[in-house]
Amino acid sequence: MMKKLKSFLGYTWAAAAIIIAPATFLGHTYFSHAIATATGVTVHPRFSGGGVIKTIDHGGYITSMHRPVFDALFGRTHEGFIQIKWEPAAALPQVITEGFDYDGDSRDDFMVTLNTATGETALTKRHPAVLDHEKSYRLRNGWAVRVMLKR
Amino acid sequence: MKPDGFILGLSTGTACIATCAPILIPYLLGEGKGILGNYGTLGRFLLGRLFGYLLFAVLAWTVGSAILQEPVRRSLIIGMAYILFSGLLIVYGFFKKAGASCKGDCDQVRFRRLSAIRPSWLPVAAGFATALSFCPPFLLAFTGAADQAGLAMSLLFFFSFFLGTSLWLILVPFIGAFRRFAVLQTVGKMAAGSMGIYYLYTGSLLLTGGLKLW
Amino acid sequence: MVKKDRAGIMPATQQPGIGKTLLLCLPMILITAIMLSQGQLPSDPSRVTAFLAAFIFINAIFFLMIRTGETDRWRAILFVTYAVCFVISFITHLIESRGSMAISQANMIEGLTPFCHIVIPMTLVPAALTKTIIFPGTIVGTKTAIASMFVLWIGSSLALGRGFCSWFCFFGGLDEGFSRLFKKARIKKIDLRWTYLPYAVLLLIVLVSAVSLAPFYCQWLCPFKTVTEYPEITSVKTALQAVIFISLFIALVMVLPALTKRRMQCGLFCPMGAFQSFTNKINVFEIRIDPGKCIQCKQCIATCPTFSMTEDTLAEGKTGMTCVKCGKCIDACRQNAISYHIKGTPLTGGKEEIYRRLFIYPAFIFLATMSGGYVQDAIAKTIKLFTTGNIF
Ligand code: SF4
Ligand code: SF4
Repeated sequence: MMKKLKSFLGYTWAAAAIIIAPATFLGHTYFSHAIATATGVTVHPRFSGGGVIKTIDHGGYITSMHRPVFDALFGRTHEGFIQIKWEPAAALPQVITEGFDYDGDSRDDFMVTLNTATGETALTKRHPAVLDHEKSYRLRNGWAVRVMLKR
Repeated sequence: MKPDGFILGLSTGTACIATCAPILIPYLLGEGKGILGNYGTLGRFLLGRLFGYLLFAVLAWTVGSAILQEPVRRSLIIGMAYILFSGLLIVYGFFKKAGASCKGDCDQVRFRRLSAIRPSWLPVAAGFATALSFCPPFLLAFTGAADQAGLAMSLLFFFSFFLGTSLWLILVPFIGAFRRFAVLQTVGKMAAGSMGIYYLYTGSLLLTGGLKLW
Repeated sequence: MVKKDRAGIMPATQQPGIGKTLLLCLPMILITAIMLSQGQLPSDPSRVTAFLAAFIFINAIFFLMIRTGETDRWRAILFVTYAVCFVISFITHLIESRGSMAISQANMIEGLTPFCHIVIPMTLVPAALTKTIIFPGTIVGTKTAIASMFVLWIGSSLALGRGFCSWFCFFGGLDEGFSRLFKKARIKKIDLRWTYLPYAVLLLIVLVSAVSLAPFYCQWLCPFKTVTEYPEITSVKTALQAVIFISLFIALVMVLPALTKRRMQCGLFCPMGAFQSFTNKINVFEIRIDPGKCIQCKQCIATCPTFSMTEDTLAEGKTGMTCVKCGKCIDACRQNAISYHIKGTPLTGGKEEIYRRLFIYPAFIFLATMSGGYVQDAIAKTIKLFTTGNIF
């Protein structure tokens, strides 16, 4: 009896495999969205830059300030960064100088100057937690800069 | 917590299974107290280890602050220590057959003899003693602790190292359940050996005046 | 040495005739037609030619598998072709869309890195603890998005277990190709202790990736970066990484496989392979050895590309858990003592060929579909190269 059941289960799984194989490909879009919504995972902010907390419309172009990223496996790291993005590329002036307030005290914490032709950047620190800046990144349709912060 | 100390502990802690477990297991099995009782013993053993480690953290810091004041000499000595000890770890991880370590064997024999008496402080002492077993991961941790900025940091480094290694020892009371213990030992030593390669890299960077990886 | 009797794989009386073989191939012909065309025929003539060529080639392989009763001999041809075409297609696509094989940090910030299955084990701990994936890609939307790869991996693992590594992985064929370069192995003695290394690498990369929140294997250890994409070389660190990638590729994927006739990268290094071995525990398909027929010639031990057959496992009539279900040992056994088997079903009763077919249908659907797109693309690009002198 047990033998028969085992054998039946074995064959069932084997037959299921024949269905799973094409279903994996045909239902691929559906399943991947299902996984994404069911688990709610996102790309780690260290790579994506994290969610945008403020956008500033300059008429032609838009500046987005992401949230400061201190995310660690447990708790938070001592050093992190904040990402600033300017889009679209075509509407950007040659030199952008802009101040940012990330701690919400209505005073600029740092100022970034970006040359959109060369990618050169300069950072003016106005807050002790602002450390330095990484280089600038030329995106497909704009520019981004990451400024290092400490907590 | 210090992530580098923790990773060092986690990855080389697999080697602790290879060295500490042979000492612990006969004792645990000899006591035959069941898993809960085993955890009591393990707890005391870990306490002993923690003491041992923290003591060495202080020592490492003393060494670090006494003779490693000048930055160039500091990175030179620490870099060399890293290279030397990581070399040892690589040899230990990949080229030494399991069970060939005399240290483990001798300890084991000594401990067996002692365990006939079985006072409750014995596991504490055993933990303390194994903490001072100068195995390659431990030597690396010592170097890491000497490389820290202050006493608190050295302590924290060794504490993280302790946490990382202890995670593995938590498995030990179940060890009876692992039929393929030898496999675990081999994998553990190889993982530790691979970590040695990373420290070799860190050491070379220090020597060449580069930056740390993270 | 007895000369290998190919027909001995399946007694001539049991080999299906042309008609029956075609009938057995019909489902595969239909499925591959749908999968390869993705529901519509291309309009560009070079693409039509490529489609037809790939379609015929893939189905010819399946036909031969059914007709001859040999599995690995034909599988290997498609598997290696697949890997080569993957590299051609992937690199030309990168150059076309990004202008270079190097991936810049800006690309990473924008999530433009294609996700590869080898990253999967490294993402699990951070995903469980932080609900994020530590990879510079996107979650959904493209074929190489993170969730897409997870779906493919889950499907193929459920259906094949570690059969994944000889019927799905787009890298495995490179290693396998080099392992088949020479007739004879130049290095025969390999310490089996090294078969534990993939588990050690797995342990290490899972831990380090979790604590450093970055895919450590991809940053430092992946030999296949050499033939796909690698980070732009902007510092000593990135240069060192490139040196590591290339050296590992030359050693583990080219030289050692050629000298040993084994899949050294897959058998002795790849952490994904080690991870995938665990799925063999839950999968129903396995390889069994009939002790009644086995004469202990140990041919299977000598042939197995992933060191999955040892004296110990042979004595138990099974393979080790690292078996990639390639079927090479089955083809090599002159006694017909080895066969595919479905767990739970009787070992005796002469059903070996049924078990084998039940396995190769799903396995081949994966191989055909995964390879189909790349083989077509590589053929189309080659045609273009010859007719216009430009591959793009
Ligand atoms: S072992 Fe790794 S590289 Fe080889 S086939 Fe499996 S996943 Fe691919
Ligand atoms: S045991 Fe046989 S089927 Fe499994 S990997 Fe080795 S040769 Fe292939």
